[in-house]
Amino acid sequence: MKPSKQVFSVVSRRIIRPGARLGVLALAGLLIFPVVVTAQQTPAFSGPGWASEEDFKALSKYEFGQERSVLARVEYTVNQVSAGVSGPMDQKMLVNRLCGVLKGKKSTIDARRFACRMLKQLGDVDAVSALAASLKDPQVAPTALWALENIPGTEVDEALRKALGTTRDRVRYGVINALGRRKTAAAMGALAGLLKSGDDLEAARLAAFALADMGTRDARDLLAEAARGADPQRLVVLEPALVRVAESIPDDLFDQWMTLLPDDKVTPATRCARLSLMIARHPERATELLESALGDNDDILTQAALGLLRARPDDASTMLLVRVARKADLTRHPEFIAALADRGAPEAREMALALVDSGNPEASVEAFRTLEKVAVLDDVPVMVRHADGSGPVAQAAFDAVARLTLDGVDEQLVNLASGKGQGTDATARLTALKLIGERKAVGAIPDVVKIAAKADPPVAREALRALQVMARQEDMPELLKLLQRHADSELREDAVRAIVAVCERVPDPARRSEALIDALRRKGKSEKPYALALMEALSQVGQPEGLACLQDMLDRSSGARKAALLDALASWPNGLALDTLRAILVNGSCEGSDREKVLRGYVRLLRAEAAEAPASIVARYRELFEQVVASDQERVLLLSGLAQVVDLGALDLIEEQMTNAAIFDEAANAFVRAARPLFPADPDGVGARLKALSEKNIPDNVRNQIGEILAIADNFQGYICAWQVSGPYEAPGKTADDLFDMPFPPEMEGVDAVWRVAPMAQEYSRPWAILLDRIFGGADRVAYLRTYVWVPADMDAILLLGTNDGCKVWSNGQLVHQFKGGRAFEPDQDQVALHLRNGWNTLLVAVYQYGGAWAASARITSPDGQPVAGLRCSIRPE
Amino acid sequence: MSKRVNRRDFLKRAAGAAVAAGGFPYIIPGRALGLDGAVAPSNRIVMASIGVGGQGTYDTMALVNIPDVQYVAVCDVDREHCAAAAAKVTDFYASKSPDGKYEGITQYHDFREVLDRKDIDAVMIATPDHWHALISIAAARAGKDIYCEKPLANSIPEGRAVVDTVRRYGRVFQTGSHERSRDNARFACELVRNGRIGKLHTITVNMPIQNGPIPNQPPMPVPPHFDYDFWLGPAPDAPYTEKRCHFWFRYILDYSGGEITDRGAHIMDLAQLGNGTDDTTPIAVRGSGYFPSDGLFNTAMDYEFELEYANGVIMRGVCGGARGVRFEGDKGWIFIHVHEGTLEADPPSLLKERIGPGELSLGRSRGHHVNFIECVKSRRDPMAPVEVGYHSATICHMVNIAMRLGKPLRWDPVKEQFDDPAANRMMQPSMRAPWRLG
Repeated sequence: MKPSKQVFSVVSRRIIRPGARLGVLALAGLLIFPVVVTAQQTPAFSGPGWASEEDFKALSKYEFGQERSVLARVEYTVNQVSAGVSGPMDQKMLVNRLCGVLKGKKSTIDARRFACRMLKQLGDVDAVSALAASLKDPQVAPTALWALENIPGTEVDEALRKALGTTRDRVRYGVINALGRRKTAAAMGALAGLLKSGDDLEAARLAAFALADMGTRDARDLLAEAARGADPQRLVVLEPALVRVAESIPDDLFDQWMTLLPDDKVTPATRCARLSLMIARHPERATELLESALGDNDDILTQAALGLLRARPDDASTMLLVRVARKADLTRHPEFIAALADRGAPEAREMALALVDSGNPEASVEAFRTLEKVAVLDDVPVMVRHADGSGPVAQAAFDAVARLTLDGVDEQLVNLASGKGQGTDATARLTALKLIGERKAVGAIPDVVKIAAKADPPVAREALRALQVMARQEDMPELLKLLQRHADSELREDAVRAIVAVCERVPDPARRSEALIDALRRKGKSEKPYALALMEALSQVGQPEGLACLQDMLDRSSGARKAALLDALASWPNGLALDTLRAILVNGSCEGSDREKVLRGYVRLLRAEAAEAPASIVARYRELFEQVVASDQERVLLLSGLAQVVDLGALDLIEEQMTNAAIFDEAANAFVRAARPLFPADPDGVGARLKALSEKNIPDNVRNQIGEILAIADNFQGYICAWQVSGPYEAPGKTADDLFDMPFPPEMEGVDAVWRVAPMAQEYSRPWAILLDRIFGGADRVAYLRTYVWVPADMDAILLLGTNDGCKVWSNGQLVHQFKGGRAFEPDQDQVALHLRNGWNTLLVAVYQYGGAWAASARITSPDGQPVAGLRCSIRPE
Repeated sequence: MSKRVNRRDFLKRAAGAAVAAGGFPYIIPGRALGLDGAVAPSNRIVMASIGVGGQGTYDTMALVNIPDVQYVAVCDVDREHCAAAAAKVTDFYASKSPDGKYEGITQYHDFREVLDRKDIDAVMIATPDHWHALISIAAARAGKDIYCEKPLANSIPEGRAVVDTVRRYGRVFQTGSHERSRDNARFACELVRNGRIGKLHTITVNMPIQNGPIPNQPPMPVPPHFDYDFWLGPAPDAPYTEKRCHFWFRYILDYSGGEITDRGAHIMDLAQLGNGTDDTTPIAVRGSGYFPSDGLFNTAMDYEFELEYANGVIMRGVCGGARGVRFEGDKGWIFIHVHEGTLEADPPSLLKERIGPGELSLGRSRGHHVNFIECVKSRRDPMAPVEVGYHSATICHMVNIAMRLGKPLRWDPVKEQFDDPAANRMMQPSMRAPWRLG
């Protein structure tokens, strides 16, 4: 675990300022983020770059559907300038260029709209006249209004006020909205005129909001005057704006204002708003107002009133709820008991108890939610009785008991579980035991152990399940006694689960098997079932001490005991048992079903094995094919595992199996599965083998897969796809930043590293991306990528590299580039100069992983960005 | 074309249907709180859906399948979507009817007509993001309870307006961040908040890599079944092209915020729940994103970001890896696989823990849609009430703004303002008239 301080420092270094491009801005970027930038690279997400004069000329001709990169550069420039970054263009110049586009007689509509949006972000007064002139064009005006809204000054107010009289329809509506947002006092009269005259209710609605936005006394007076004279249809239109004013009007004017929203004339929804406004301004009248609303005939108002009441924690509100609930038919209106439940009002207990058997599930659920807060100990048996079974009522009852905080609940449950309660049946005993476990009632462990020891099997099993949840290391002796005691196989399984759960809770892994090994050593000779159960438990715990113990016993066992030991070893949960299982198979020390069991266990572990080199895994499979398997069924089992090994040797071995006609289809399928991640690394070689296979009599689905794989080559896009990968490498307690300064075998002379072919084509659209997070995952580690590059002559070239996160690059053993820090993956984000020699060259890339995504891509071009004639890459020099 | 139905007409028709169907559950909407008991209340909630593309149809059918819900209308500016969704709902009800017929679903083009119907108790909104706030606000003002897809709004001020209006008008609001309703996710957050991983110091959210980029698209004629101008609504005028609309809108900044606001509204929402910060937002943000400089899509494809909370917790966002959220404390960590709902932890035994009596319990949901309907009845706040959706969406917008401006920003969670004028300008939504916030 990382302490928070350290984490902050790490993550702080990970984020790199976009736009801090090469030299000019590097200093500003580094002042904010302490990123260590070395060698020649562009920081992450450098953006499209600043716009040039030419870009503005091109912008004026832009039409939707054309290349958008010029827009991206202008937008980037606008964002940089508005963020205060110095660059080739300042705000004045930028506004000037954008206004030029806006005013240009030949500028396209799309260009002018775009210019308006950029001017909105800049909010510069120099743009006012160009924007105001654009209001005459209905196609550009809506976007020009956005920009104008954001620019301070009376010049804009005046332009908008004039536009109110000269524009129509949607543009006019936009002008009204803009005047409101700008609080243009000079437009109040014109806006007030819109409230009353004409048939344009939309204009009236927006004008009302505009006046409400202004928030001045004069604006309010105009709005009030219009509301007083409004017919019902117009009042509905004005209501939301009147509510808006009421939200912020001074207290001394509030009541008078609310007379504009008479309760008997406004819509039901506005009555709700009215109620919440009244309560907010007159909290002393809240109870009276809410009681009245709750008794209203309008359901929208009563719903809102209940919501408001629920939000009030005071005693008066509680008492109001109690009064209302007592009068209501709660089987029909469980919402009242729900409201009381949420506040835990003791008065609700009797009402809740009366509802538990109401027949209305919603009412019963709310009753139990209530009892969770207000029950007394005497209520526990009733609640437990209802907690058995499925469905929302039983779940609510169970949850309620599980969360009761009363003193004595656990003791009550123990009594019920022991069958001591009056009329307690087996079902109640089981439920009580489940609840003891759910409550993790450690004080009840001794009693639960007794129940587990003596009760009938169903109850004893439930007791063991409760112990699985809550037993502690110090309870292990009692658990082992239970295991020893029970002859019933199901009880024994539950006891094993409880014991394993306790072992897993031991903090030190080296001591997790200790109690079990000790018990195995001390068990009597006649205790075979107990011994077998202990072996099973040791296997499930999966620690090396347990494995050594079982191995030792295996050497001295035979018969049923040996079979049980093989069972335990074959189901071992991790790769620790690989060599043990191999030895059993190769030495032929078991036969028949035992051998098959061990073989399956071995293949299962091989499929999960990540640490071992693929070539070594292939060798293990070859050994199995040649020395162990005896049937085609077993060969098919091996093929399914082999198909997952990313190594050319796996392809060879699978191909060898195709000579066996009985398993040809399975071998063909395995071959294609194994070939897919290898194909990008060797498209010619693997592709030829796939094509050859497709000419044989293979199943249609296999043929289809071959077609899909071969089509991947269409997406290589010039990127290097032939990579080997080594790693991941990490060091205890070291962050990715620390690892950056540490050498690992692939970069150390004379030290061997384990290399495997990097699985490619994990995404069809970018088969060239090396998705290390999918290959390895994890955080704070490094992986190395290696490829060999052949060129026909000595030459200079450019490596275009993208990595998440940091990277180092060696060309023919020389470090040529490094980037330390976190960043997101962007293809071609670094440009690295390379000198390539005639023939084969080695390219080595370290990719550092801080966390989350972990990926890389690379391609090589000539210095002028063109493909290099004759260049080819391979995972090994030919 | 839509047909207006008033509450009385509707009830008449429903009663008729009940007779014809021989006991088909008849509908008396609303009126759930009569204190005198004079009116027998129905437990059925009358609903309509606004926006019934892929997600909207999914949400609609999830709600239709709840026995307590009666659907009466669907609405979409794409007539093909509308008709397809109406057919699905009709088929569902017809399959329950003895004569195999049902005629109770009205199709609408304009959401305002849906909101005018007095018989409708609640609406489900699954339009593109740029419509979420406007329709939610209008629905609240019409007295409807609301289930609205995430992200709650397409800008921070729009979200604030939704919160204020929903509370002012006393409506129940469920944000569609349904990952909150998963038992496992709530359990994981309970473990974090009850200190089982020690003191929480870092949250890492693994986000998806965005689709695309895709090439520039040509202008296209608007299909006759699609009201493109209404679809644009408050968004700026722009030529029609197929991949601007429907599913793809989420990768264009005028209508959405890319994966940051799409899946981010799920993943960061769970981060909020686990951090115990549902009622607030972080205090600082910084980020770096790759915004394609060409092609139709312009939201961040790849990104990294970092948010700092007032409680000292750092939330890091990275692109890739197993999708989900990892809570890291000084005694362990928990990872929630978002969408799968599975958990990982170190030590693994954490996942076998129980939340005891007296510890913080976050409650459980019987499903996000069911939870909404339960709350419409009980008037409780649902699993993702309006403030929760607002704060989660706000975080997503903060990240996008910081990445677009390319600078670290401080944020005041109370004033809901950045410390930077350019960021505050970028935060402000612009709306094409006649649409406006308020």
